[in-house]
Order: sequence, then structure tokens, then C-alpha cells
Amino acid sequence: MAFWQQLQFNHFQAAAVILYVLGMTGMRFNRNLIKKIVSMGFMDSAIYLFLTSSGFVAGHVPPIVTDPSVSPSVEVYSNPVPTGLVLTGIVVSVSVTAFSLALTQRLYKKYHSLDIDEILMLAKRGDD
Amino acid sequence: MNKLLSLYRRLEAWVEGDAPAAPAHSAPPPPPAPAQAGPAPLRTLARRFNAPHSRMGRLTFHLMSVMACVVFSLVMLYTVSELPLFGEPTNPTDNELSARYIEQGMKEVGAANLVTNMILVYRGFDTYGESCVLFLAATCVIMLLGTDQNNTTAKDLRIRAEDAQIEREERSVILQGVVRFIMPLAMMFGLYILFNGHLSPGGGFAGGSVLGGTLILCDNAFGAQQVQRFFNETIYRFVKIGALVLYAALICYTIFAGANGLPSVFGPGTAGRILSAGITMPINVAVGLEVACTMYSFYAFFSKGEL
Repeated sequence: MAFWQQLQFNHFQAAAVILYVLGMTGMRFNRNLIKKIVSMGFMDSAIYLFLTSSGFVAGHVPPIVTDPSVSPSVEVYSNPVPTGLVLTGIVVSVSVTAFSLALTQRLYKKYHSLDIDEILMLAKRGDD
Repeated sequence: MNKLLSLYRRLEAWVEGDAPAAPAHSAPPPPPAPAQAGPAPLRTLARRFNAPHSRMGRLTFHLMSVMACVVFSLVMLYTVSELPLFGEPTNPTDNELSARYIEQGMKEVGAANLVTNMILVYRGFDTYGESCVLFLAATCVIMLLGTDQNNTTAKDLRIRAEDAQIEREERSVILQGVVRFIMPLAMMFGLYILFNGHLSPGGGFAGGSVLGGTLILCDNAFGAQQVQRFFNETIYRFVKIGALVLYAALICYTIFAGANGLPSVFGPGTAGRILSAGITMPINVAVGLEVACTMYSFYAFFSKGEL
């Protein structure tokens, strides 16, 4: 029972895990390259959710000072570090997505297919 | 080293299903393999489960994949249930590092947005790496999708001319009207996010995305020629490289001159003012220009292969 209770407390992390596994399943089962990249986007979003939720502190406000005359204290603001990590993740995932989409476009121009099995087959036949 | 290489060869041969390769420098030749020795085990497995028409193999493969995913999700959920409670102030993530960023950040750097302090000054080189990642991604996309006279056939040219003709004839009046109204506002909003990044949520990456989106909107509504009047390849190169160099110069100057609280040209100033927080605002602008260029170049190279 402790398992379920903990999961209810950590529901954001649990949702992130489920989202991640959904993305992983999509990557495993879809043979269409575009769908694979979309599934990778799912996994990226799961990571963002996980990281942001680890930065949340109950009752604290986002780490942006609205009244500069008061010295900021840990009692008021939530954790700024995971936010920066999420930013890194977003940038990297955008770059990776763009790069893989560009590769997919090149593959489609060469083999006229998005099916990974078909592309591999055609590529092997081309080698012979 | 040689031994390792031969081991790798044997492994490769085993995976490929070839007959075991003779070691390169063994004195006695290996006994000849029996002629009707079956294929290597992995090849047999692959043939059984990977054959395009084997329904049984595909079913087994899918079942195993589902099993793997379910097992993985259960393991991860168990891990989540062992994690510290969500939102507790005593969590190990809320350690002295974040306390230092919160308590000293505004005093030392001067930006009211504590995240900006962290990502642009304390961890400025990390964010510089991110900008370089974006630069590299844009370069890779240009390398993969860029077109010039070497890789363009007459057919490609004809298709592109037809596309341009269709685009010209079917340009939407509604879209043009709306974009004419929205584009200045969106661009101003993007610039606001850029220049206000150290005071409010936002910053270089968000503002740059808005600016790049505005350029894409303009391209959609009025065509590439109109965008090229103020944003062509020369300006693209200049802005993109200039932004990176500006960022590098600023962060190097800060590291050398002021990172340890020494007085520098870029002081912290009064927190909450627009001209405060030293280098964060110029860096935000540089990052924003970089991101805007990257976004627009992604769009342009994906849609028509040139800027």
C-alpha cells in the first residue's frame, strides 16, 4: 500500500514515467520514421515534467523576485536549478529533432519511403 | 590489442552468421568446419523472428516488446515510489546550491529573475554550449538540406518554380491582413521578452522563438522574397556568428574580470531596473538572435532548401 500512497504523492513523476514509457513504446512499435521522432518528443516532454516537478516546493513562489527591496530567502522561492536543466533539455531536443527530421527528409528523397524496414531493405539491395 | 581485434572479428562473424574466421596468426589451421553446419545461432534467431512474412515471429517480437515496456514502466514506477515526496522543502534537491543561487544571486549578479542569474552568469559557459548546439544543429540542417547548383536537377527546379507559382497565385488575403496586424505586435512582444528576460519570465530562448516564429509567419503570408528584403543569407550569417561571438566575448570578459565579485564594467546595478544585472541583458539578446536565426533557418531549409 505504501507503493500506491507514494505514487499518489509523486503523481507528477509517475505521470512523467508513464509518458516516457509511452514514448518508448511508440519508438519501438512504429516503423514510420516521423512517428518515431514524435515518440522521441514524448520522451523529451516526460523528462521536462520530471525535472520541473523535482524543482517544485509546496507553498513557494517561482524564483522571480517581485520586490527587490526584500532580500530573497529560501523560505519563499522554489528551486531554480531544475528549470535551468529543463532549458538545456529543450534546446538539445529541438536540435536533435531538427537533425533527425533533416536526415529523414534526405532518406525519403532517396528511397521514397518512411518505413524504416523498407529503407533498410532498399539500402541493403543498393549495396549489392 | 591484436587479440582484441581478432576477438572483435570473431564476434562480428558470429553476429553476421559467417563461418568462424580463422585467427590471423595461428600456426595450426583450424579443422575444416563441417559442410552442413547450421547457420550461426543469432542468424537463425533473426531469420525466425525477423522474417517479413512470419506472423509467429512478429507476434513474438511484439509480445516481447510489450513485456519489456511493461517491465520497464513497473521498475520506473517503483523507483518513483521510492523518491522523496513531491514538494517537500526538505528534499535533497533543495540543497545549499539552490539556496546559494536564491540568496546571493540577486546581490551578486543583479537580475530579479533568479533563474537568469543562474543560467547566464553562474552557469554561463553551459548556456554558451547550448547556443553552440543550436548553431551546430542549424549547420547540420544546412549541410543536409541546402540546395545549390551541384545538387539540383532540372526537375527540382521545375517543381520549385511550380510551387512558387502556386504560392503566388493562392496567397491568402485573410492571412495577409491578419499578419500585417499581428506581425509588429508579435515582434515587439519577442523583443520585450528578450530585453526583459532578467526581470520577468522569459529570456533569450523564449524571446528568440517568438522572433523566429514571426519571421516564419511573414514568410507564410507574403512569401520568401518579402522576408529576403530584410533577412537574407548574408544577414543571417552575420547575425548568427556575431551573436555567438558576442556571447563568447561577454562571458569570457566576465569570467576574467568580474566572476569573483571583482569590480567590472558590468556591475549588478539596481535590481528590478531595465539596465541592471550586468551582462545578462546583452547575453539574452545574443541568445535570442541566435535562436531566432536557427528557427527561421530550420523552417526555410525544410520548406525550400535555401534561405
